[in-house]
Amino acid sequence: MIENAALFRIAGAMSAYAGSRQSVIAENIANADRPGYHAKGVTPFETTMERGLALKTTGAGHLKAGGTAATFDTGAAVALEQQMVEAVDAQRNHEKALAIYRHGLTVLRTALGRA
Amino acid sequence: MADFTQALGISASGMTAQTARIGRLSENIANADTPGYHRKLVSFDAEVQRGQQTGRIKVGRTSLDQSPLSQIYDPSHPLADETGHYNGSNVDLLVEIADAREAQRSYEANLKMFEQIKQMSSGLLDLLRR
Repeated sequence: MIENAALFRIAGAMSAYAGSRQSVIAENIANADRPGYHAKGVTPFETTMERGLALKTTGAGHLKAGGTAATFDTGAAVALEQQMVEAVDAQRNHEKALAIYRHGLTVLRTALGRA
Repeated sequence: MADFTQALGISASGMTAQTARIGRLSENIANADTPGYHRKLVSFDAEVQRGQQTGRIKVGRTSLDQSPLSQIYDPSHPLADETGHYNGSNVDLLVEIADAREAQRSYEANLKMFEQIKQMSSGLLDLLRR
């Protein structure tokens, strides 16, 4: 059961990460025609997760496994095509996370005899 | 979920800004033959709330293009001076059309993002529905 809880937590963090990454991409695309705007890049989920998992949470107020995408200034103008590719990638990641989550729920339901 | 709401707002602001841009462009095109008309230029600004950038974009001040007006030769025109010229507009249709295309592309990109974000958030809600 504990493994299951971790699975939910990671899937949740992944879908939250995909959501916040999509938000960054939306910002890049909305600001693409604004002079002087630099595209924002996001650190990969793996890095965010590793950093998040390395932290020990011993109190309710402590940082939990990373869910939001950390951004950095790429210093380059917005390339719409690249942003579109990234957006699709984020969407797929989100769907993947949801599928895992849903599967976890199904397993729990089965275990409870409510298939 | 908060991220999605914010992202939807950002994409919507992008669409609003591009719509305003198209609006100015169509004014310019409609007035291409108006004597003495200076083409309007839009500027995009980052929206700031409580000293922080929200990521949304807004249309800033509209300015007038101060480049010289075209001189049209037509001695019979009521506005013509001694040399037979009068001031036309400084609208270049080719530039306006190219700008309009760009605005359309950007609008579509924002719309695409809007749809995608909506899809993602409804996927999240579907989890609850079962």
